[in-house]
Amino acid sequence: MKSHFLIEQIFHSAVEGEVMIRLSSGEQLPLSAGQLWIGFHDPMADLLPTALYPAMDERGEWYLAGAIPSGWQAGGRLSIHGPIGRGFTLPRSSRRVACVSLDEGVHYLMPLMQQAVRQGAEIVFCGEHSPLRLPALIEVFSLNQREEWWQWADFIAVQGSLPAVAAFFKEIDEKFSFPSKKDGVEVMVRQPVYCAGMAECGVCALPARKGWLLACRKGVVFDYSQINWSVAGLVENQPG
Amino acid sequence: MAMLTAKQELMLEKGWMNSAGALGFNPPLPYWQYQPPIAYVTPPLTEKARPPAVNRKVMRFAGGVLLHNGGFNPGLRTALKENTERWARSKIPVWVHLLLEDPHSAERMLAQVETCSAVTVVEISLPQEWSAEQSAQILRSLRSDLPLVLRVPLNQMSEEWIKQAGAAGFCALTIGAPLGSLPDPHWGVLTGWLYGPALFPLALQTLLRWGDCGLPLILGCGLFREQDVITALQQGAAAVQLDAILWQGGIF
Repeated sequence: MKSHFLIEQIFHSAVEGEVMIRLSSGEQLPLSAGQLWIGFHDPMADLLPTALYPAMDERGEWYLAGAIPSGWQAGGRLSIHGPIGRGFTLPRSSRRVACVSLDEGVHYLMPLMQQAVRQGAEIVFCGEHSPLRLPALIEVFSLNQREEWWQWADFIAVQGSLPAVAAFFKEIDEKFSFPSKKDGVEVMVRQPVYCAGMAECGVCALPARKGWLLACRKGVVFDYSQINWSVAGLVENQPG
Repeated sequence: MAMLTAKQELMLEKGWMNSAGALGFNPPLPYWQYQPPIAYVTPPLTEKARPPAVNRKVMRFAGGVLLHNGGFNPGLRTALKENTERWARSKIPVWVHLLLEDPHSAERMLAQVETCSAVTVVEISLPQEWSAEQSAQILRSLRSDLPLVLRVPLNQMSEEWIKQAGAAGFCALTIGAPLGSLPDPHWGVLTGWLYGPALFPLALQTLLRWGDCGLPLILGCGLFREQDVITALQQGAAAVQLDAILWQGGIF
């Protein structure tokens, strides 16, 4: 799907280097937590398309967030292409949901938490701190308190950069012999995406059990079991 | 001088195609807006698969970007196996781009490609680290029934061995994206392909300088605006290749 919108509002999120935008008539976009969208504004100025991720604020309103170029201004015209990937798939039967944020990007998990609230699940948020005011229903734990929620949850959503997620699962594996937790763990890995899925350039590639998974083609949410975590921690491809 | 066997002619019409690496093997169709391409060029293929570089990255500089990915590709055999059927159905001629690594693999790769009837042209690039003599030697030794196009990075276009391409049987010369390097806080220096409008003045100047080389020239870097494409074609380019601009919807 490719559509054109006007940028209605731009504001900075609490996450360093990230900016949020709200689109005029943005409710036309079928936004879902964990999906990837690609935005184009001014090719000559931006040089590359911009990866955008659906996010939600404390009021439950949708935004798109990412490393948005400084040249984007309210009133500017934006072409949006997507969605790429399926995003998080919270089963309707899930009753104990844990949302784990390995950085300040909790706004990417907010839509999922709201969805879990609507379907009557118990929810815990796990992270070092949250820049957003979470709904009162959500219990907050630090990452160090994983004994409290890891085995309890029947669906776990984790978000972060590739090195952070790889380190997290390494610790989990050491502590809980992780293979015993086979289902219900999904990971959102915010990989740098530059070619909008056109070139298969490999910059966004994640090591899979066999071969490579391209975030620009498959999206940024994967089942835990799809990624070869022993190799993932070796990748150093943060945006430059 | 290479023995020229009877081979298919290269029919090159003034128009555009993607540069090798700008599109994957299965680009979303249509990846153009109003003016269809005259050919589709595959990503650079090596004989064996290459994983993405551990330090893969895209870095910005004024007027461009640097892409470092280690030459990530599935290998020629896998690429042909997985894509031949689709290429055979394509209305757009398919150019396979080969990144040569040594003379022996070059022969094997050409032989493989020639068995694939869906391929109409082979575009070749040589390793940057080869000497002029090595490069000239491989040019002279390459033989194929398919039209061969030599792609040379912009920053190598001053080298004398390139002038032997015509005599060696190549049908066209692509002036491709240059290699460049940028400082990286973690890796010291990263080297990769450069894309962006900042390259256009140098690319155009190179096109003008090589205009009498005797081969059709394809300008394949620095093109980010429709006006620049028009200028290139008016100034002697037989065709053009678009790269990173395609990631933002293209020019046309």
